[in-house]
Amino acid sequence: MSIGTPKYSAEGSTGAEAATRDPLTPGVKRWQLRFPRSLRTPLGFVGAAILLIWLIVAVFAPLIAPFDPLAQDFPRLAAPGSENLLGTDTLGRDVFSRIVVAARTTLPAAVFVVICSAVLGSVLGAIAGYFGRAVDEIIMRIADLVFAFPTIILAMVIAAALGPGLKNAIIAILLVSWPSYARVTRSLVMTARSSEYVIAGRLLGFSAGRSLVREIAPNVISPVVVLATLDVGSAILTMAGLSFLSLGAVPPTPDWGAMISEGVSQFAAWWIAFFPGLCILTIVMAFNFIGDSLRDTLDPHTAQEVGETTS
Amino acid sequence: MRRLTRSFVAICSTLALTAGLAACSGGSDEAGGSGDTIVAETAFSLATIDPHRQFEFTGSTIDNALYQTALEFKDGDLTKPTDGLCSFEMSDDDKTMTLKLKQKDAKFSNGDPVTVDDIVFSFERLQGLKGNPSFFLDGVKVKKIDDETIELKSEKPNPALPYILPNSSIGIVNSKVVKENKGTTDEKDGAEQFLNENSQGSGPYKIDTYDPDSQVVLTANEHYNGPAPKYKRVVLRNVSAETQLTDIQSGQAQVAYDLNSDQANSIDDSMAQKTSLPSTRSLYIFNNMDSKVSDITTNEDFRKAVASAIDYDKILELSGEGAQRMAGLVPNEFNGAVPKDQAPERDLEKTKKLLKKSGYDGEKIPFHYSSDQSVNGVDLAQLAETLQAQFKEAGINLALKPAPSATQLDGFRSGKQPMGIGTWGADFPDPSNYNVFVPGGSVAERVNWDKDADPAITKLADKAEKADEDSRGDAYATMYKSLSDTGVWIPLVQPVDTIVVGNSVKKFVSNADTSFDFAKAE
Repeated sequence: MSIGTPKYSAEGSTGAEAATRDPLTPGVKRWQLRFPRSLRTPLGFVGAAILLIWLIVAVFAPLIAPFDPLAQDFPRLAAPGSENLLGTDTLGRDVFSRIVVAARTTLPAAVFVVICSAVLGSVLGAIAGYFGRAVDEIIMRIADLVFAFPTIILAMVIAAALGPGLKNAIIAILLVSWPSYARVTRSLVMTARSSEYVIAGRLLGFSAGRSLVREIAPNVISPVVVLATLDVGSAILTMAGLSFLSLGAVPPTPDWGAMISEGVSQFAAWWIAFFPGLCILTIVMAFNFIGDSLRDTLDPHTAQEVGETTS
Repeated sequence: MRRLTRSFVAICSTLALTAGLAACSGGSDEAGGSGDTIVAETAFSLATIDPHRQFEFTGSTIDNALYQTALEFKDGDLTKPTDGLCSFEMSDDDKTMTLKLKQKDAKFSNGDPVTVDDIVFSFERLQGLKGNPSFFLDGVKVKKIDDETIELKSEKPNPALPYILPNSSIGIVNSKVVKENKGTTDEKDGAEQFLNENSQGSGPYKIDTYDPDSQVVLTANEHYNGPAPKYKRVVLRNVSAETQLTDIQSGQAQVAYDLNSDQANSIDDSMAQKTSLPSTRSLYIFNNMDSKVSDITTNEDFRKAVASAIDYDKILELSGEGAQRMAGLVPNEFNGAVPKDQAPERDLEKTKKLLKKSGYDGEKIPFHYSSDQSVNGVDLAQLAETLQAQFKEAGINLALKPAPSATQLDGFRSGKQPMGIGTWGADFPDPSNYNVFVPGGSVAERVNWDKDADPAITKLADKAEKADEDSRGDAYATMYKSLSDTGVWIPLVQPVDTIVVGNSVKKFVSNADTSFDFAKAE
C-alpha cells in the first residue's frame, strides 16, 4: 500500500469499481459491511427481539394501555387480576397502563441522552486527540474532573441543583457520561492521525475538519457505536436511579424508577416494584446483548481481548 | 489434583470468612429481645439526648423514659395537664404559676433525691442554653421560694404554661452531678456529651449506651419511685420502616414506630398488635397572599373553590385507618380545636361557580411539596398526586413542584411559593402554639399574610389570647374556624400515629403524650 491510500477511505469508489472489487478491498466502509451481521449471533437476536417488542410497546402505548395511567379509579393496592393485569398502586392506578406508558418516556430519553453524549464526547475527544497540546490538556483534565466522581453521585448533585424533571435528569446524565466517549475517541484519533492516509491527506492540503470528518471519523466510529449501544442500558439505569430518588420525571408522569421507589415501602404489594424492575432488566439486557454482538463484529480487537480475559 | 486442592482452599476460606463475619456481627443476644429485653425500632431523628437541647422525635422518645417532668398528661389526655413531680396552681391573671414538690420520694439514677434546686436548675438551664427548645420558657422568671416551692412568673398572661411543662425537653436533671460535669445555666454549658453518655434523670430508665447512628440502650433505674419496669433493658435501633416490617414479622423487634397504615395492615394479627394514636401533626394546603407571587391564590373565591374541590374522604383513605378530618389547624384532641363536623365537604358544583367568579382561566399553578417526606405514614408525594387528580376533575390545574425537604422548606420560608402542602407538628398541646398562622405570625409571613391583612381575625386572636381558662378553648376554636374560612390555610388531614407491637408483649400502654411507654409494658 502506498502512502496516501487509506485503508478504509471515505472517498468511496465508482459503482463499476465496486462491482468488480473484493468487499474487503479499500473503499468499502466497515460499518456498511458488518452491521447487519452483528445481530446474527444468538444473543444479538434475542436482544434485537426484546428491543423490537419494547419499541412496539412504546410506539403503540396509548393503544396497548387499557386504562388512563393517571386515573385513580381502582381500589388501592389491588393484586394482579383479570381487571388490572399487573395490579394497582398506592393511589389506585393501573400498574400495567403506567408501565406501558412509561416506556414512551424512558426509551426515547435514554437513546437521546446517549446520542447527545456520544456526539459531544466524540467531538471533544477528536479535537483533543487531533490537536493535542493545550487543547488536549484542557479537554481531558475536564474529563478527568468528571471521572473523579462516581457517576450516579455526580448526576444526583447536578439533578438536585437543577431541580427535579426529565429535562434536568437528561442534562445531568449527559454531563456525566460524555467523558467516556471523549477518552475512547481521543485515543483512537491519536492513533489514526499518525496513519499514512491521514498524513497524506494533510500533505495534499486537507483542512483539519475535513481530515477529521472524512478520513479519521469512519475509522474510529465503530468502537464509539459499540460503547454507545452498551451505554443505553447504563443511561436507563441512571435515569431510573434519579427517578427513584425523586430527581427524574415529575409526578404524575409514569416512570419505572419512581414506581420502584413507591413499591419499596410496600413489600406486601410486590407487584408495584417488581414489574417496573422487570421492564428495566429486560431492556438493559437487550441493549447489552446488542452491544456485545456489535462489539464482536465492529470492534474485533476489543472482543478478542475480552475473550482472552474471560477464557 | 491441583485444581481440587485449590477448590478446597477456596471453600474453606469462604466458610472461615462467613464464620468470621457472623462472629463480628454482634448483637445477636439482643436480636430478638428475649426475657427482660425489649427491642424497639425507628428511623432515628436524633441529635442529642441532653433534655434541654433535644428537639427531635427520637430524642423525645428516649428522654420520656429517662426523665420525669414537673407536670404530666395523665393517660395521654392532652387537654388536661396534671401533677408530675410537682403540683401546680395558676394565678387568676395567668401570669404566675406556683409549683410545689409533690413526689418527695423521687430519686435520680444515682440515688440522690430530687429537690427544688434540681427543678430550678433544669428550668434555668433550658432557658440559658438558648437551644431549640429554649423558647418553651421564654419570658418566664424562675424563682425558688423555699425547699418545696417554685414560682414561675411570666411577663404576660401565659395560660399555656401548664401545657408546656410536661414536654420531655423540660426534664428534671440532677443539678449537682451536671454542675460537676461542666453543666451551667448559660451558653457556656459543656455537659451535653456527659448527659448523652450518663443520663441524670429520675425516670424509669437510665442510659446504658448511646450511639446516635445505630442504637441506644437503656437499663432500668433501680431508684425509680414508680413501679419497676418489667423490661429491664430497652434497645432502640435505627432502621428504616421497611426493615422494621420484616423485623416485626420475624420477631427480631417488638416495637415498630414508623410503619404506615398499609404496612401495618400487611402484618398478620397472630404476629403483632397495631395501636393507632392521633398524631399531633396537621397537614394543610397553603395559598400565597402576595399578588406578585400569584394573582390567583390571592383571590378569595379561588381559595374557597380549592377547599371545596378536595375529596377529603379519599385523603382520609390514603392516610390510613384512624386519620381524622380537620376543620382547623389545631389537632382534634387539643383544647381549642374546631369540631371536625364543621370541616368542609367536596362540592364540585360550588367549586365551578366559585372558579367562574374568581376569573380563573385554567392556568397551571405551581404546587410545592417535599418529595421525600412522609408524615405519620402519609407520603406527601402521593398526597400531592392525589390532590392534583382531584383538582383536575374540578377544573383546577396544578404543576407539581417536588423538592427534597430542606430545599422545599427554604422555598416556603422565602415566601415565593404560590401554593403547596405544609405540615405543622405541635410543640406543646395548646391552641396558642398555632398563633404563628394568624396574620403577621411567623408561618403566615411565609405566605406574605401581613399583620394588618385581616383585622377581623387579628381581633379574634387577641380575644382568644385574653380569654380566661374556661372560655379560651371556645375563643380559639372560633378564631381558627375563621382562619380556615379564609382559605389561606386549608386543613387536609390529621394523620394517625401507628405503633406496631409484637405479640410477645402481652400488655402495654401507648398514648398521645409518651407514645409507647416502655416502663408499663409487660
